[in-house]
Amino acid sequence: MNIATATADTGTTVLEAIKAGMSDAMDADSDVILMGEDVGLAGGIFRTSTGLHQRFGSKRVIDTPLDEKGIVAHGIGLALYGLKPIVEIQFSGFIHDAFEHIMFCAARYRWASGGQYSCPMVIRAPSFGGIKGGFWHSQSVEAYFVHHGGMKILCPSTPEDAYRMMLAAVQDPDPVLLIEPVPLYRSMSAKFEMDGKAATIGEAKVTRTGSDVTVVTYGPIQYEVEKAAEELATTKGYDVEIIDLRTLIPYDMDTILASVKKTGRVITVHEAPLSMGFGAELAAVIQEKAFGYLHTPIQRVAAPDVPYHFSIGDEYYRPNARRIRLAIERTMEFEF
Amino acid sequence: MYEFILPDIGEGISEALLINWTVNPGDQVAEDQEVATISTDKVDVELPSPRAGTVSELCWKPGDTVQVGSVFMRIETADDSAETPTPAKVKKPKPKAATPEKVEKKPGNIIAAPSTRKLAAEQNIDLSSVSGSGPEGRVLRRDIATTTETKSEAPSGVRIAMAERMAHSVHTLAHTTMNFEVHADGLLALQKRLSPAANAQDLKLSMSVIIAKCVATALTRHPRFNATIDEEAVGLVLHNAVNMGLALASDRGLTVPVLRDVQALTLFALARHLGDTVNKGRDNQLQPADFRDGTFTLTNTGGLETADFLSTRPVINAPQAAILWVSRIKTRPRVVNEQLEAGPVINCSLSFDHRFLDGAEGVAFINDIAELFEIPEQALASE
Amino acid sequence: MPSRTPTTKGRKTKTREQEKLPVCPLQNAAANNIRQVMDAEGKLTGDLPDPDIPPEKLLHMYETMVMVRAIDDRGWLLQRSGRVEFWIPHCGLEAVHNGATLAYEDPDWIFMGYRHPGVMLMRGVPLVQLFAQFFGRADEPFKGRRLPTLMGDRRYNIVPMTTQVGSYIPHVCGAAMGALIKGHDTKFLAIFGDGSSSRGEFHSGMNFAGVHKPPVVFICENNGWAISTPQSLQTGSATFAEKGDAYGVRNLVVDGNDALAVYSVVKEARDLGPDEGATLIEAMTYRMGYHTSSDNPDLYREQAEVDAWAAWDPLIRLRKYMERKKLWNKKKEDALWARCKEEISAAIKEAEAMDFPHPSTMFDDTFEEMTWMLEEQKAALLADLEDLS
Repeated sequence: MNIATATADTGTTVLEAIKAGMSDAMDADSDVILMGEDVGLAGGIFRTSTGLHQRFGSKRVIDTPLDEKGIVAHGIGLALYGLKPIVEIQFSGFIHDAFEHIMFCAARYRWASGGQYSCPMVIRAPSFGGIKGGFWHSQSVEAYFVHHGGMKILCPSTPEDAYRMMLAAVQDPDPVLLIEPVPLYRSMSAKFEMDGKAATIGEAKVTRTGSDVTVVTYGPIQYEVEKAAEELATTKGYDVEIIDLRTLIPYDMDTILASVKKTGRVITVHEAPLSMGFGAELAAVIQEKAFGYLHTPIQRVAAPDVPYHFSIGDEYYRPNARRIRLAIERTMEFEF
Repeated sequence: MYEFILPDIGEGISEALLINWTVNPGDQVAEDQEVATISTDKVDVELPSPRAGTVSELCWKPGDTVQVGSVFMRIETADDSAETPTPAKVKKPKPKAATPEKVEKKPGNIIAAPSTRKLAAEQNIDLSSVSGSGPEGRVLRRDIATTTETKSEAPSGVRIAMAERMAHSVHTLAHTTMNFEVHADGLLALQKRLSPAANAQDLKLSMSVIIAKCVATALTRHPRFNATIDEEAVGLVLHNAVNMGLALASDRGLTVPVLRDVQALTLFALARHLGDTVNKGRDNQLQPADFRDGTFTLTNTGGLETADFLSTRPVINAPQAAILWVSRIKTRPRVVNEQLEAGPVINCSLSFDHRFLDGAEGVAFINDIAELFEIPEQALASE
Repeated sequence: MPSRTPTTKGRKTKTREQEKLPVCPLQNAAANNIRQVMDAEGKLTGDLPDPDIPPEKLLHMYETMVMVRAIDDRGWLLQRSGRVEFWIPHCGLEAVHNGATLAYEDPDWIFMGYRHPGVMLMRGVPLVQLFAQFFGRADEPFKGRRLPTLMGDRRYNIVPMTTQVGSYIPHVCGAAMGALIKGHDTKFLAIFGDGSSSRGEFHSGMNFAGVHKPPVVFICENNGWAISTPQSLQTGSATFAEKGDAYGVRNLVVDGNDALAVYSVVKEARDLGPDEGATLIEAMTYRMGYHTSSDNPDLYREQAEVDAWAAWDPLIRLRKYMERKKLWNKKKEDALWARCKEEISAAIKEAEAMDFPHPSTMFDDTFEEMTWMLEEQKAALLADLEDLS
């Protein structure tokens, strides 16, 4: 029943998985609608909704005016009335105009109304660099949205996760910010069964087991971590464990702690800027909960606190396997 | 008695100037009746009384600056009970959520990694009494190990690990040991012949290097000895690469760093690799990865021997399946061409796990080792 | 009783000596294109006909308007004596929100602002619930979490405002779009102030409303002042209503101190057909009181202007209209005021005796199910409280 049709040999791309997730969610619940700029006949600027307008009609796939604040705020109204809107922001770089409505309306309605109202909705935020997009099209915005409760934040990095997390986000009773990995939209595909099963929010995945050092990461940058880990296994015999967080709020502390207690060494990797980034929170909470297990200082690999550079950003702004490798080496060489 | 506390009437007012009272002590006041005019930096306001009653005391004079939160006036009320409700009763906290890890109290100004502090605490060592050998005087694990050695008290982490591994090996594996002796003329000759070339490359061609190379060659011919035990599958896992554990005595106890791909290394490359490893071991620079993935262990006590050791019973470094001990080369009585003579010999003991390797295999393996020791050039020539 | 106006500080003085005394624009309603039913004396002189509201409903509205006024009088004093932390006055604005609420049916949704307690009372919310909210007590729908007068209650289809003025304009528009999508005939009302029209949300809401034609009446309550900012500094438009023209949204200006006129135009707009979309109504009125208890209007506006508007007090006009209709008299008026004050005193007594919320309830309702992160923080707070006790 999926609109996305996977070819037999290559499997489903992340983009197709997102579309299939939306399509299956809309099939399952007539209250689910999609709205955003150009999501209708155009199928969205990335074509993540191609065919949905023809399938579900203009009442459920709504082309909106060019107004991020308006898209999210009207989504809130729809949610208050009992619908389950999926609202698309074309690039997460444009999401900031809607910040007040995401954080202080959607994420606050339940609390501010004493539990009387809620805003279950999905805000799609295509994110991340590596696409020569300059600083508006390559942003990693998650740190702006993790600062207070009320909003769940998911970040899939595989086709299967994209599909199941879309379903989970739609089914969740609270608003969800779904950070989508633009660089993986078409570059990554995998075979899996599109069986309508939703992911469990709050579960990380150990994508590589190891005993020397724990790298906590999320988003497409984790594949750079994987490259660094493979290289170091060969050249230095380092045994790197990689955790894909998948959910930023609420993140999976148990998986992180189990790994840290095993390795005693931690590196956080994200492509959002360094200072006050999500890695800083992880570093803080790990030292609170596993201080005596740490052999070395926790290191953070991140982008600098400057805008994403257009011409050289992909190479020098965004962390890459080389920088991650150096961080792992520094950590492994630290004598304790 | 009701105490009228001067309120913050403007979101952030901290004090107010009392302009005048509109009531006198002894007056009756009604609830919300004006009692005073005050001036703040935002606005001038008339203050109404929060309660009805008799004015008992005016606490300030006109012209006074009154702090928000201080008692402004006192009113005798008819009903002095139930003034302000208190917050709901505080219930006992549920000991549900995780609290931060309990960390031992430490004297200040000590630099050490958290896990090192934890180790010290477990061993009951006062870190302030340990001098750190790391950067900026950081106390390292080995500094703690040194402390323990001199105290002859708690064992070091290395010793604990070794003890556990050895005990497991002895209790689980079916140790079988075969002892043999080989004439060492060939080994000595090769060392003598190649040493000048090695020295020219700033290398020391120790006997251990030549022996390791010979054993690696024998292992490639007998892959069932270059193996690890899979206890669950009840069988051996054979390995292509010879990752040879080299038992080293150190001040922290026995360590067994692993030399990787010995079969693929040239003699000189092995010499360099072994030299580096020995140096790192001596300096406690070995990393966890340096100890992993061993497939066979060679233990050479030559450097420590003064007595004439003829055999030992080496304990297998599980999950490896076999271990070879070699002595130093010494002059011993031996038979050459049916004649008794004095000459260089090397004594060896091979232990293997008889659950997976049998005696015939052991004999065949030893035959090849002996041949390689006698004509070690074969090891250099073989692929 | 202390008055709210005279003070010794910052009184604004005239700079232009020849300036004429201010005139209330309601006096020339026709010339100002302001829809009106009655004049200052309650006489039927306006362009709109007498809506002939049934007496029972009319009295309900008037009694609520008086109660609202009495609440404001008392709330102000409670703030000045430190019993309520903060007060947002609504004196003079009674006709707008009570008239509009009367025009709506109970299943309809109302998004109220913070100067509109009559919306709650008109729909039957008990008075004591309002005072429990003013006092921040646990036993009110929002559990003491919000500033006094920031109210709402889902049981009465009144959506709580979001504190940021005007931010709920697109929310009500979205909710109304939801009703359209679901095929419901629920109608929607939002009341916001003139200052809100400057926010991007006003644009978003009007823009979407022009495109999607949801069943909403937007009331822009033009009370003359956004804190200290007058209309002339808020917009270059002649009226707030005409902004609707740019979005294709039907619009008009109504006398916001004429409860009958407000009722009439809102009722008409509410009852429009399903394809006729939204209406933007500018209700001309005047904030007689301070912006909030932290404000001082003497710094920016003149008493003469306040006085000019006082003659058009919405309560007096409606009372006179009812007296002309023989529905009301002085005796009833005095009895009503006495009853309101009495009920307020009783509600204050009851509400003040209620408990404050337990500190640990601050974690509730953040998510449907508390995350481990909040559970830990809650446990830390409880431990801290135990340490205190």
